[in-house]
Amino acid sequence: MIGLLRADFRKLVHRWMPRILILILLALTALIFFAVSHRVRFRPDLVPPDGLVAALSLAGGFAPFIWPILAGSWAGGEYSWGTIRVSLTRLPGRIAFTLSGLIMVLLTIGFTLLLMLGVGAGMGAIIGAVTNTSAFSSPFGVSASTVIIKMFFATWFVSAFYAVLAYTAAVALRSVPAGVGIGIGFSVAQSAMLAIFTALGDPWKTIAQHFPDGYGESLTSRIAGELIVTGRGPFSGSASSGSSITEAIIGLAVYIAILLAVMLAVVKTRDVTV
Amino acid sequence: MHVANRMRCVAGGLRRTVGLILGASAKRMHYSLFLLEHLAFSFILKGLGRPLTTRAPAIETASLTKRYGEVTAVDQLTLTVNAGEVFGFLGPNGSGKSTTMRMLLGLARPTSGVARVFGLDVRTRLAQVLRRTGALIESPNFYPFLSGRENLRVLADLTGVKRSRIDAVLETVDMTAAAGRRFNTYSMGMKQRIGLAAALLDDPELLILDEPANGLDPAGIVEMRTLMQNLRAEGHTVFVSSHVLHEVEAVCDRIAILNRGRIVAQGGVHELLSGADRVEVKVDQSDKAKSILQALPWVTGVTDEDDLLVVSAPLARSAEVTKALAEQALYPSIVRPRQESLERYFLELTGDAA
Repeated sequence: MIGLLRADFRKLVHRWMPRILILILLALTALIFFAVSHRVRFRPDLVPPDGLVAALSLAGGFAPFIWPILAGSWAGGEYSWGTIRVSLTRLPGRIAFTLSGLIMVLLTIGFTLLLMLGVGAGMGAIIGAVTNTSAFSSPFGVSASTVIIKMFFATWFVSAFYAVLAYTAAVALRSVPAGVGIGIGFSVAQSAMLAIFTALGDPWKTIAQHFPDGYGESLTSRIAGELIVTGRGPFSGSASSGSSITEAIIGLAVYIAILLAVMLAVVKTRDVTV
Repeated sequence: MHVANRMRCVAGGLRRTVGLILGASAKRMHYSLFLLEHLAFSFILKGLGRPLTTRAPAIETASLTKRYGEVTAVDQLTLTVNAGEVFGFLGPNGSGKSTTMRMLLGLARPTSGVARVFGLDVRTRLAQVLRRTGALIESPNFYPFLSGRENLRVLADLTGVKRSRIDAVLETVDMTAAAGRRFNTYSMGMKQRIGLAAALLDDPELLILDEPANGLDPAGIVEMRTLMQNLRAEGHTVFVSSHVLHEVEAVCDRIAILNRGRIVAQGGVHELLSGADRVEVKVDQSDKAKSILQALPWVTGVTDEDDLLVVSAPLARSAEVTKALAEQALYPSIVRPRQESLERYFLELTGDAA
């Protein structure tokens, strides 16, 4: 597995697409911080430590649109380039090969979230210094650090779902466009379904809360709500809506487990025909 | 008998002799010496770099079949490729060559039948099979954003091959100078060479090459021939499919011809080509000549080919062909044994499919 990960890392560092995606994400974060800083009452949300949670909150919002591109193209590329055939004539572990790519995507997401924290901290500090604003939270106390760590893993977990979804679609359909399209399309479709189900009222509204988007939203907003006070700005969290943190984690874990099971079953049983 | 086996017999004899001389403790001594002998042979064989299983056929299939729904891509294929030979695997497009190679490499699962590489069942011992096999299947596919060298490094990472080996194989395929360029800037021939370098990376005992001459210029084709000859000289086994039949004829020890998933001919190249004796005859009134020749009991067939009659008959009876025609006042201007080429032989066997 170490050899596989080393090979995947070599591909990662030589490929432009992940770098461009990460740069886009960081640039968007910086721009949104800059734009929000023009509203005086929202400025405290941008200054560290609150600003770090705000940056992760933004990362969670971009997750359904950014990570399917990386995961779908990573998995689908092996089929469209035909490189999976070359690799598997040297290596019998189809599952290990597939999982190694997924692990590299998930590590890339984690690394990007760290960069997001850096951008959030940098932009927040600059905005705080220039506008003479301080955060509502006490600067980096025990509770702020705990919330930031929890928020980091929550955002990573939510992002992981969208990455696994696109990765599975790309592997199952052996195609980059299918992986990216299904990954992003799923989120769009969920939004439409959510609106319809909410309009229909109970029990449909309750069912809609168990959509992956619902779990993701509940998980990140509840954790963000522990630091950023409810209802104050664009990054504000909510401590009361939707599923509980535990429910959201279990719900997303079940969705991820189902996707992984489908992907591995397909990889294990299907001939390599590319 | 193989040298190692002969040495083992001699050692076995010595062991028994020493055991007998030493009398009472013979049984214990017997086992001690057996152990020592085993260790010594393991050491010798390890030193030679040849595992014990090398003596099994390099490739062996029995009733190997692959179906895709209603379509039978490979049908009851039974094939043996001996270790150390260059074996040509021929057939028209869609005859099942690549599917067979895929099954040998674990990329496709057989519907039924058995495939063994060096005596190892591909289904159950794929890891050991791949460790001893290098392959270039269909087109050479690599990461377009990596250089040729980086692509080989990625593959080396998968199996832990040393970096120095990358330089060696790039040198072998004459790609050292272009190794730093991105793969998507290579010509087809250069891609093919990188594919070949990848196949050679682990210094495998068996090379499975699917159309390795694709995209190569004439000089590259000659280099490929030399490479295969060198590999054979070094004791490697090469299982190669190709449409460049004169190259196959020049380099392969044995061939199998596949048509619609079934083997229609298998054997030594020269043995197959000399198997069907034919005499070419040029004569006026070819229709009349044809009916005369067809009436001869030892003629098994007469066909028209351009302005020649091709008579299936033992070459030793060529003079009787002339005599039979002359007796009917037909005087052939040419009577000669037909020089069979692999190309003609191939087209005869696969004519309607090729």
